[in-house]
Amino acid sequence: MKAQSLRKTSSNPKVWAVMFWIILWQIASMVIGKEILLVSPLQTINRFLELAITSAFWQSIFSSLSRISFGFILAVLTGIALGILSSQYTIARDLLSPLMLTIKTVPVASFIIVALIWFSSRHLSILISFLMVLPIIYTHVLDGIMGVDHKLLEMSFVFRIPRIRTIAYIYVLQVLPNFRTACKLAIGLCWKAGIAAEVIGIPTGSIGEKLQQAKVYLNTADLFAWTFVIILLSLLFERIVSFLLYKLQKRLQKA
Amino acid sequence: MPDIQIKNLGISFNGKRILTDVSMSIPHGETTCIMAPSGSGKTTLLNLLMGIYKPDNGSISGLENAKIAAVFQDDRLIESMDPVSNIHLVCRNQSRNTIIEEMKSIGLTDCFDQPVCELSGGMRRRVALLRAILSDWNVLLLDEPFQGLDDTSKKATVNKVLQWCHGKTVLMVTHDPDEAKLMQAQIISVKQGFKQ
Repeated sequence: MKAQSLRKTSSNPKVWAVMFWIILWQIASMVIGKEILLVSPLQTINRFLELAITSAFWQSIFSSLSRISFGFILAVLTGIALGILSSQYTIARDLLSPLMLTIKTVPVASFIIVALIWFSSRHLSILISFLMVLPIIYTHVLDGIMGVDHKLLEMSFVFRIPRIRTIAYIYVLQVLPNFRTACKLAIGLCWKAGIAAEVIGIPTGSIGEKLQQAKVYLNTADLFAWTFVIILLSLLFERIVSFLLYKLQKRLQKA
Repeated sequence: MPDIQIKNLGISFNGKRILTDVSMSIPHGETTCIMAPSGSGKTTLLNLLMGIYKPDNGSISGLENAKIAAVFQDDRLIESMDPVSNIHLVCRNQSRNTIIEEMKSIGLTDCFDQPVCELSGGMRRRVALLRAILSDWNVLLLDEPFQGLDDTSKKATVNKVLQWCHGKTVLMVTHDPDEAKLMQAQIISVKQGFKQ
């Protein structure tokens, strides 16, 4: 692992680039001139601010955030456990390989429809988030463990480093960059699919329900405002997880 | 501790013979240097002594209760960790301040917080050496330990190793006779290597 991987990556969009697209959006909405087709960024922000002072807005956020993050955490824990299991036992790896491939390739809509038949719509987004995140975490954890430098493990053996410290400072430290990448990928997907599940399942008081209502009443401003909220939540969630993992990595680097 | 006895040791990889019937005795409490040409199986012999490889035939005795420390040919440091943490991970008996002082004594200054992947080859070598000698050991195995060090840092590092190794069992392998002399070691010269 090179030091570059520890530094902040330059994948963050540049402010000028963001401004360029917002201005283009503003111009497009002015050219079209119909709010029902395309609201402007200013109208979106206005509607967002109007929504933000209502308690229903925060209840919807809490409702969706709690379900989607629960699905995410559950998938992370399961993915880590299955990744470790598969790294140790070939039979587990062989057994899980078709399952993970199926989860990765089956369309989200199919899962949503099947889940709606089997479960209540209230918990649909938990299951869908879980299914989106699980194969990504599993694959990255497994690849990370399999890629651990065996020469470092030999060093640990020769110097009689206790197992727990070998796990923390060799395994975890080497798997963490992979795991961080997996989390970044998974969080975006988990929010997209989780909200899609809510739009179809329409659990009461969720962001998905609000999007569905915006569609029914052709309320484009609401649709854009709620989409803006989803983007913010997804980014915030990703930043928090990324920050916590970065701190863990820094802590482990100080043995 | 008894002497280390190596008897009829042999190992091959993928059908290729690496060591054939190697026998020797490494005296306890002394520094011994095996001198052999490159590619003759020196590193494989050390890996057998460390227990990383199992021999196809033959035996090693005298290491049953040994606490081994080693300097590997390729350093084997954790790249994203700084040198102090790399040493402290292995040498829990040493405080970070002691490690820093020892690092300074062999010319490793101003690199305490740098990840080892950013250090030069010579600096990495000294970190690997310090990690080995500061750990809790009674048998030290050194694989070309001063490779990549310039004359000045080699002198300081050799002095440090001699200071920590006095009266302990040290086995060093090298192809450089000067290194063997510097370490004041008893030399076992294996000109033909260990394959025949």
